[in-house]
Amino acid sequence: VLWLIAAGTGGRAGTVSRERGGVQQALVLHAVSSLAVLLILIDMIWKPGA
Amino acid sequence: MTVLAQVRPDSWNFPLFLHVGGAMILVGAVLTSASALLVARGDGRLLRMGYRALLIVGLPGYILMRVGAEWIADKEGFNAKGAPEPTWLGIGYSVADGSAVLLLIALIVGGIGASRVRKGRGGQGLLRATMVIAIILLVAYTVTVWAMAGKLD
Repeated sequence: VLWLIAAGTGGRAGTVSRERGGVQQALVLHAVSSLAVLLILIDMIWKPGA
Repeated sequence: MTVLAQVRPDSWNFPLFLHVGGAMILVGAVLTSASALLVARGDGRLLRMGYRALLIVGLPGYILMRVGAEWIADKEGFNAKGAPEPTWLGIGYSVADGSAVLLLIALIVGGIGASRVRKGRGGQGLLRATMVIAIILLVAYTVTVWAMAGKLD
């Protein structure tokens, strides 16, 4: 799920950033994508439930 | 009962998080820098962005990775006198320390280049040199990530 969120929002951020006035939305999408990647790393290291 | 996964002590988690997180930031910054400098073709904005990615993101990422590395190595007992040094750890140390020199050269050369670009006095050749170093770093880091993640003996 986190991979899907990271890839989806990251890809969309790239597309939106090329549209006129889309920088703000692209920044939000990029932040969501970065957060998802961070959560993947936390999940891999702390292994909740393992 | 079969052990499916060995879970490390909880006290190792945060240093490992810093090390791996720092490495991810570093590799991402070097990739961004090399790509921006590669496609810039004289575009001052992209040239400066390529350099800034290395300076503002890559350098802190390197520091985080290296501090985390020393911390986790200490926790795992690799810094103790007479402790064995596996191949993957040797590769990690060699590349981390060797790449620090290359990274510094890239930052100094790129800094002069970026300054010249801003003043409109050339500097593109220097940023091209930074790009070449960034590509070399990227190859070295890729091999290192493979060796360390796979615990190469």
